[in-house]
Amino acid sequence: MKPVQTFDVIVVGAGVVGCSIAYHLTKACFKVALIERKHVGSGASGANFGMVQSNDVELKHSIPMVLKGYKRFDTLEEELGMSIEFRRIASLRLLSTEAQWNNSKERADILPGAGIPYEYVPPAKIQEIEPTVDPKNLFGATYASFQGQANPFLLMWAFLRNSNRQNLALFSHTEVTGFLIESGRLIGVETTRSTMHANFVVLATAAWTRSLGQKLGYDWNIHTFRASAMVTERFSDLKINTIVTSADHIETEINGPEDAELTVMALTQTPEGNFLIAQADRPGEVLDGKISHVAPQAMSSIATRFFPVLRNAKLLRAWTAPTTYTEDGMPLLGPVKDLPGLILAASFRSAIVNSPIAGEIVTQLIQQGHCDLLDISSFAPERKMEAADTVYRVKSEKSPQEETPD
Amino acid sequence: MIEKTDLIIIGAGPGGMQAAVSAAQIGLQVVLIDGNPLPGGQYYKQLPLQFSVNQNSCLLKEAASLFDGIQQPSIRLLTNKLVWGIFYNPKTKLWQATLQGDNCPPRLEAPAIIIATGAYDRSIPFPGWDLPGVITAGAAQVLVKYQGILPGKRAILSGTGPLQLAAAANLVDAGVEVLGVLECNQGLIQKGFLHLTGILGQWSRMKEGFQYAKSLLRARVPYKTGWSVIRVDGEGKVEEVTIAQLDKEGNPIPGTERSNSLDTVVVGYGLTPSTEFFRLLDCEMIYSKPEGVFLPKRDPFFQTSLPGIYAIGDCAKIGGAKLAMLEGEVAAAHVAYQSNRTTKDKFDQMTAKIHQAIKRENRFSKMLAELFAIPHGLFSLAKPETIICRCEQISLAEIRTAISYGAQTVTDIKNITRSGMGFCQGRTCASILSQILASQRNCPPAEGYYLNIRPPIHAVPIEYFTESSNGVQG
Repeated sequence: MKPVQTFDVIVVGAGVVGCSIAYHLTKACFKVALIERKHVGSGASGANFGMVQSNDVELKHSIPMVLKGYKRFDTLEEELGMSIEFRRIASLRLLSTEAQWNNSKERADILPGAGIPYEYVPPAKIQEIEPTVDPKNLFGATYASFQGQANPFLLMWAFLRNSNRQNLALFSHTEVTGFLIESGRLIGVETTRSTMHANFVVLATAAWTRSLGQKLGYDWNIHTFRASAMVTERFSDLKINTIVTSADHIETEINGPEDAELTVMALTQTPEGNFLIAQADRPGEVLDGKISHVAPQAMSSIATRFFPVLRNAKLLRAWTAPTTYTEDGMPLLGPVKDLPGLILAASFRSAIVNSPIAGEIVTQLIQQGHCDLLDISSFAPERKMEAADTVYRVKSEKSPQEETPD
Repeated sequence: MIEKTDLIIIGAGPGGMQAAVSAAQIGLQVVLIDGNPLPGGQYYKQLPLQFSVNQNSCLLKEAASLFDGIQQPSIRLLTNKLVWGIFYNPKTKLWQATLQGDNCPPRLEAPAIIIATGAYDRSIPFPGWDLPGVITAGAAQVLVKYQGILPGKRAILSGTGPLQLAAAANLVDAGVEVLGVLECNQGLIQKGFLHLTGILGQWSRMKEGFQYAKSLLRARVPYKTGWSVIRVDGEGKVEEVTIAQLDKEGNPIPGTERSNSLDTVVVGYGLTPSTEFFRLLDCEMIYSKPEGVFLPKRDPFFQTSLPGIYAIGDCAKIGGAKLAMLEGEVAAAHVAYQSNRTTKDKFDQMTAKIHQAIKRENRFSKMLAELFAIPHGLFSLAKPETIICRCEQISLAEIRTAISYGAQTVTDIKNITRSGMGFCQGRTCASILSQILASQRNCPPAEGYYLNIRPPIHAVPIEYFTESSNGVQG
C-alpha cells in the first residue's frame, strides 16, 4: 500500500502559475503540496523568454486582470526578497503590409484608453527605436512600451523559496495518476509517489489540463501547439533595445507539408548579450516536448531576414514546449461547477504577467469561497467558447490568413 | 531528398569502426561519421596527415585491420563532420541524423543508429582547477603525442587509474620534468587480489602498463598512492601546487600538505561517458555509481529503450576499447537481424560466442572501476568561491544558495544559477553538481536526476541553418 499524506491544498503543476499559487497559499498559512511530473518549470514556463506582456491581452474580459498582474511586478522583487531580473522593456512588432496593421487597429483603439500604451510607428521612426532594423520593406510597426521581462526560473524559484519557508511540500518527478472522489467531492489525488488527500485540488497544468480532465470525464477546451525557441552565444556587435516581433509568417518544410513549421518571429536579447530567437509554431495537439528537426532551420531563416548580422552567431541550444490557447483567448480560471474541491488555473495567454494575480485569485477562492479581486465569471471552466477576434492558432497552409497577436 | 542508408554509426573509434566492419560483412550499407579528421577515436588516434613522422605505435598496428576493414564500398566514411542532433522523422519512420561539415549531406536517415561517441576526461573541482595550466590527462596526451606541443616544463599528475601512468610516461618521454604521479587510491595491491579472476587473461594489457612504469622508473618519477593535489595557486596561470596525503575517505590529512612550484598540473579522475545523444533522445537512463552519471539502459544486444538506437563502448559504460569492439559486433549483428539480413540461428550463434568474451571484459572493467574509484572526500576540496561551472562562472557558494532555495534536482540548480547552461551544456559540471546536491541534501546522487540536453549537441553557426535550407518559403 502506498502511504497516505494529507494537505489543505494540492496544487498540480510547478510552472509559473502553480508556483505562484503555492506561494500565495502558503503565505495564507495553508498546508500545501505542489506536485510536478518532471522538474520545476519543465513545461512552457521554463521554455519562454520571460516576457511580462500586456499588449497581447484578450480584449473583452482580460484587461483588468492583466493590469493588476502587471502592477504586482512593480514591487514583486521586494516582496519576494530576491532578484528575478525584472526590467521594463518595450516591444516592437514589425508590420510588412497594411493588412497586418488593419488587424492590429482594434487593439490600438482599445488598449491606450485602458492604460496600456500601444501605437502605430511609421517606417521612418522605426530606426529611432531600433537602429539595427532596416525599415525599407516595412509598412510600419506597432510599439508597446508597457512591457517587461523577467527571468522565468528565478520568478518560479523566488515563489518557491518563500513557500519552502512556510513548509511547502514540493514533489518533483511525481505524476498524478488518478483522482479521489467521495460523495460528489474531490478529496485528493493518486500519484506515483503516494496517495494525497486535501480539501482542494488546483490544476495549474496548462497543456496537461485536458488529459487530466479526461480522467474526470471533462473535456476542457484547451488546445496545444508546439512553440520553439533558441539561444545564441553572447553577442557584442549587436544590441537591441526592445523585444522585436514580426507579423509575418514563414513556412518551412523539409519532408513535405506534414512536417511544415509555421514561424512567427520574436527576438530579444538577454542582459548578458545572448539572443533569444523566434518561435516556430507547429499546429496540432502536442504534448511531446521534443523539438522538431525543422525548427532550428525555420527560426534561423526568419531571424536572419530581419537581422542579417546574426548569421555569424553560434546557436547554443534550441528547445520546444507545448503551449496552450483557448478559442476565446481567456484562461480556464475558477472552481469547476459540478465537482466541489476542484479549481482550475490553466491556459493564460501570457502566464508570467498573470501569475501573481492568479495566485491571489485562487487563494481567495479557497479562503472565502469567492473572488472579490476581479470578476472572473468570464473565465469559468465550463463556459461555451466563442472564437475571439484574434485567435491564438496557426494553420499549416501556404496562405497566412490568420493573425497571431504579438 | 533526404539520403537514406541501412545503418548510421556515430563515432569512428574502435567500437564504431568494428560495428561498421561487422555490419558491412553481413551486407548492410553503412555511413560512419566522426568529428575528427581521421578515424580511430581517442584510443587509436592517428597523427595528423601533415606530420611526416613514421607511426609505428603498437596500438596502431593492432588497429590496422580495422583501418583496412572500413575501406570498402559498403562503408561511407564521413570525417570532420559533427552530428548536432538525432530526430525521429514521423513521416519516414526513420531516425534522422543532422550533420554539420563541408561537403556532407545535412541530413541522413536510417532505421538504426549505433552511437559510439566514447568518453571524455572526468574532472573534480579544487581551488585553482580552472587556472590555465591545469589540464586533463587525456588533453596532455593529445598535446604531446598528436600535436607535438609541450603543455609546460614542470608538471605533476594527480588523479586515479592507469591512464595517468600513460600520460606521465608520454610527458617524460617528451622531456617534461615530472615531479610525481599521485594516485588518490591506496591499498591497490590488497584490493587487486580480490580481482584475480578479472585480471586473468589480461596479460597483454598488463604488459602495456609495465611499459609505462619502466619509462617512469627510468626518469625516477615518484608514484605515491593515497595522495592528491588539493589546490593550485597562481596569478592567471599555474605557479604553485599544494598536495596532501588522504585518509581512507579521501579527505586531506591536516599537516601533510606540501607545496611545489611548477607550471602544469595534469588531472585524471577517470572518464565521463558522452551520453548527450541518449539524453537528447530521452532514452531510459540508469544511474551508474562508478562513472557518477546516468547511463542508457541497454538490452543484451546494446539497444537502448528506443528501438533502433544502439549504444556501444565507453559512451554507454566505461569499459575500454576491446569491450567497445565486441559490443559493436553484437549491435551490428542485431541491426542486420532486425532488418532480416541474417537468420535467427546465425544471429544466435554469432552473439553467443561474443557474449562469452564480453563477460570477461566486463569483469576486467569492473575491477578497474573498483580499484580506481574516486574517494568521496575529494568531492569536498572546492571552497565556496571555487568556480564549478566554468562556462558561466558559477561558484560553489552560488550552487549552495540554489540548493537552499529548495532545489531538488541538478536541473533545478541549472535553472536557478545557469550552471550547465553555457557552451559545454554541463559536460564538465553536471556530475559535480549531482555530488554537491547529494552531499548537501544528504541523499543519493541518483535522486538529483540528470541535465537535459538540447540540440545542437555542439554549437553550430546560424548561417549553417540558413544555407542548408531547402524548401523555405519567404
